[in-house]
Amino acid sequence: MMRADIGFAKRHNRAALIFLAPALLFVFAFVAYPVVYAGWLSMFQWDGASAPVFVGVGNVLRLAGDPIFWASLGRNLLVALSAIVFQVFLALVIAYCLVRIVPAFSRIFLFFYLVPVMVSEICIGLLWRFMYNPYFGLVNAALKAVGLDSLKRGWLGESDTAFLAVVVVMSFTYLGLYVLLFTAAVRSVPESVYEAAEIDGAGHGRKFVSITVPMVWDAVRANSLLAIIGSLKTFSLVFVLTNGGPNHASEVVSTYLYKMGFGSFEMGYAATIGFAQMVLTALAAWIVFRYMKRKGDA
Amino acid sequence: MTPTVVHRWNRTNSIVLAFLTLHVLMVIFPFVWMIYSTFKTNREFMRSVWSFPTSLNFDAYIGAWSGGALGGYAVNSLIVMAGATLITVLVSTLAGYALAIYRPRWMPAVELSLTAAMAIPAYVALVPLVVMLRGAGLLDTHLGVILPTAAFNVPVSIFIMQAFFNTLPRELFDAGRVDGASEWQIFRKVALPIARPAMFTVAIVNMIWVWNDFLFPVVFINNPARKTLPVGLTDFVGEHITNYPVMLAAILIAAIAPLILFIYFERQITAALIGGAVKE
Amino acid sequence: MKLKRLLIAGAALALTAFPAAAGALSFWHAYAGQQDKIDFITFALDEFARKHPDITLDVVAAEQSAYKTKLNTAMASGNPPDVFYTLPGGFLNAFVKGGQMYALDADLAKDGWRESFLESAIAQTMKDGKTYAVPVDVDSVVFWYDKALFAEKGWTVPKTYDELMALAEKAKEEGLVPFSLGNKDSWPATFWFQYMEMRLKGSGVVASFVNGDAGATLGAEGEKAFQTIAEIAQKDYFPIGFNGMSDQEANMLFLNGQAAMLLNGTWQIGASADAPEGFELGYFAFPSVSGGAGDQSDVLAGVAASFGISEKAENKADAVTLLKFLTSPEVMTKYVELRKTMVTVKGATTEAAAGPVLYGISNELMNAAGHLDSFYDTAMPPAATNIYYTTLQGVLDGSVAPADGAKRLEDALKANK
Repeated sequence: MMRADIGFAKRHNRAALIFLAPALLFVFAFVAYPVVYAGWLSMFQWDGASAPVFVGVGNVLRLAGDPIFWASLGRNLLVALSAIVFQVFLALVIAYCLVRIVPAFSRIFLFFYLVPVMVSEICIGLLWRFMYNPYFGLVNAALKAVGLDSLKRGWLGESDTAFLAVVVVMSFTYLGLYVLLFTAAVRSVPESVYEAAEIDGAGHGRKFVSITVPMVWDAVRANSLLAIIGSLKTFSLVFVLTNGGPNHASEVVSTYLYKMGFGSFEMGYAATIGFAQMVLTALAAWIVFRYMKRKGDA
Repeated sequence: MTPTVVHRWNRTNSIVLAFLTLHVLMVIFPFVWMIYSTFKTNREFMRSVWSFPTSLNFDAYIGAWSGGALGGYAVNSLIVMAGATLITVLVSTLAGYALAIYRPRWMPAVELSLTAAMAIPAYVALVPLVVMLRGAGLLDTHLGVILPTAAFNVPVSIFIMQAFFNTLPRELFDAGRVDGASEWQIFRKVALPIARPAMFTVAIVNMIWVWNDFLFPVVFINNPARKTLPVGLTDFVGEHITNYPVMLAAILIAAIAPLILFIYFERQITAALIGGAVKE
Repeated sequence: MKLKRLLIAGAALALTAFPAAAGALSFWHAYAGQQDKIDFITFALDEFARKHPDITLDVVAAEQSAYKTKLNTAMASGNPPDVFYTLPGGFLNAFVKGGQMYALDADLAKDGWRESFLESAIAQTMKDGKTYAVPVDVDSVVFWYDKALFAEKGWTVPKTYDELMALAEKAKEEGLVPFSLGNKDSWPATFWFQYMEMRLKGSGVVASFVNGDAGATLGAEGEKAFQTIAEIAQKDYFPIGFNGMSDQEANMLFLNGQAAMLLNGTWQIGASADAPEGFELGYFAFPSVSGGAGDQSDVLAGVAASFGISEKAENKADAVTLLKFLTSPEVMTKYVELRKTMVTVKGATTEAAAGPVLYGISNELMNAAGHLDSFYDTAMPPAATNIYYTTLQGVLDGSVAPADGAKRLEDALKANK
């Protein structure tokens, strides 16, 4: 790791600091400082209008015993898990197919996959509400068409399917971004590596597993990280599709926080929810990051 | 690019193509439906939401455009998007480069702080940010949305850039050092030109995030003349409860701008990728 | 076209008003996003500018759903507008509790201003004996149906709850959804619960909690009301997946003839304007429930919007002038005409301005009502509203037992005074 030439070290430190300064300034001013402020708010009961009442750890204790919060956090983790499988992994497979199997069509496919990524989540959510509509929607119409009438249901309105329905939309929506990033990575794998494997008679499955995946591992790491972070922050789609309902059945932390802060006007408790999520997810992100880093270095 | 081993089209190719086509149709169908539905009248739409329009009817577009101030919202969105993306890309390219190239003892701490910042949801900072922005006179301005939005996107962007710079061989930069170039010159003359495709990728990703961002604009901007498109769209769609084609036309108008942008950028991305920038 | 002009005016205003000129009165309202609202506010502000050229307004408009967040954030950060649109009930009371609202009683006492309002309406913007806002419009909830559909099927309007259920069963047999309901945002189902509670126990139940009455309770009727609506859901009288459908989607079922009836507010008149040909909107009162202790003629009707003045406003006299102007018969009649909504100013809801359906509701139903009970969800504190909403969703989909639901709601109402 360390450069042998010690003479450069000091110059490097100064350069590193200068290059990092603008980023750190931004992050400090608009992320770190407000968060500390929010941490301060979490010790108060405050409706946003009247004078805040100091409650100490009261909000934290309430949060620890709040089953809705924990269920919401659990759902965030499920979103992250499904994102890695149905967005990142699926995107890698698709990218491989596009680049290695049907390259002539890769550009047009990539274009279509990217359409939902370009469109705002608000638009996507509004459109998918139509897809899921129990009476006019395509999902039920399609089930009827293939003779699965018994599976027809009010997808977004039933406690046991609402969250699943939201996760499916997420998978469709964000997939294209990862296809794009992976297509770039897969294309960069030198042709000669595949040729060597082909001479050995390797099929697509083997080439994918033993050449593509290891060669684009950096991209897998970066994209998985992106997917996890995105999942933990997810808001707009849930907000538009179910607003966390029915009866908190598809609630994620962000929608719960929003409801508490701007529905119930419990600003102090909302700050506590955010603070707790921040601490817990930062911890989780750090663990994942370190794990991947070590694996990448190995 | 052209493979030297001749690949003949076989059954595998056909199956893969069929599956991909089916899959992509599922992904794209809502948009196709949206497009043809906008040409229907409301009564036609009410009769059957899935049927094709019987005639081309542009009333929905006229209704959406004249009734919703969408043009103004779009301009606002473009301003916010351009501002936040520009800041994020510049700032994170510098920082990502530093993270990848330099290894002072305090660097892991910086890395850890940025990772932590990355996990912070925007909601945590919402009320404090309003108070801060008001104090600075930035509440209800585009800049007031741009700055926090950029700040929240910086950490992830840095890591994407860092991952890119990590793929470059160190010898590239060492050669410059031997020649006596300053660190800034090495960055400017060696790193920056190679990094351009990665910067484009980061820019695209950021544009999507900023364009989609709903929370900051909806809270920070009160003046309808400065609202961004997604916020203006929810106002518009939420209220036009009776005319569905108009609502869909509004969604389409909101969706078309970034798509045009995408078509424009797609060529550049492709060109950059063909240049073999990501990993060589 | 009108909107374009308004926008240009708005932009010009924004340019000249930022930073707010000294002496300008800041005015926030939620008349945006919808043509009738824009038409109304354009008319009102143009007239005001003509009549009071000496008062400069610094206007900020936001669409309803975003407005609450915005106003609350402004209030939270201690930078409230001088004059603003506010919802009555819990939303307003939170500001009153924070000492941020200016009491209007002294001004209302002058020139018969207070007397110009319907007593039942202005009572809804009072807290602890003081009036903190002036009410603007009133929404009332009734059953809606398509007269043409009922005529075709030979159905008659039900008078009792049993008749309503019998009719629902008939509709279901015909393959129709008996009652359309889009409960994604939870407020549409509140009408069902509230009307049951009003019929079973009587009006003013939630108001007595809000007023801090010692004996305030939902009673055993609370559980019974939850139980009844849960049964309606179990009988599949509501649409499939109603908890995930928006009110707009429910409207689509109703207007498209796929659902027979809809329990909804008077805004349904506007929503039905673009219905398919042959659709003829009719209404009937929520039927009587036999054995119910409540006055069976009571109507669920509440003040939907009001205007208040911030305690921090520097020029209260100008602010009162603006409020007086907004609630003048001239402006209010125009409001009825443009928005097809009943208003709180006496005599302003004329037949000519309101149209037959609205005038019928106003003149027959509401005048004959023993009591008008305002919307529970806006009357109660916001935190309780949230619990009310999720409890309703849970009771309707069977995940919360009616007894537990009643207890959850009662606890929430007791926790916040």
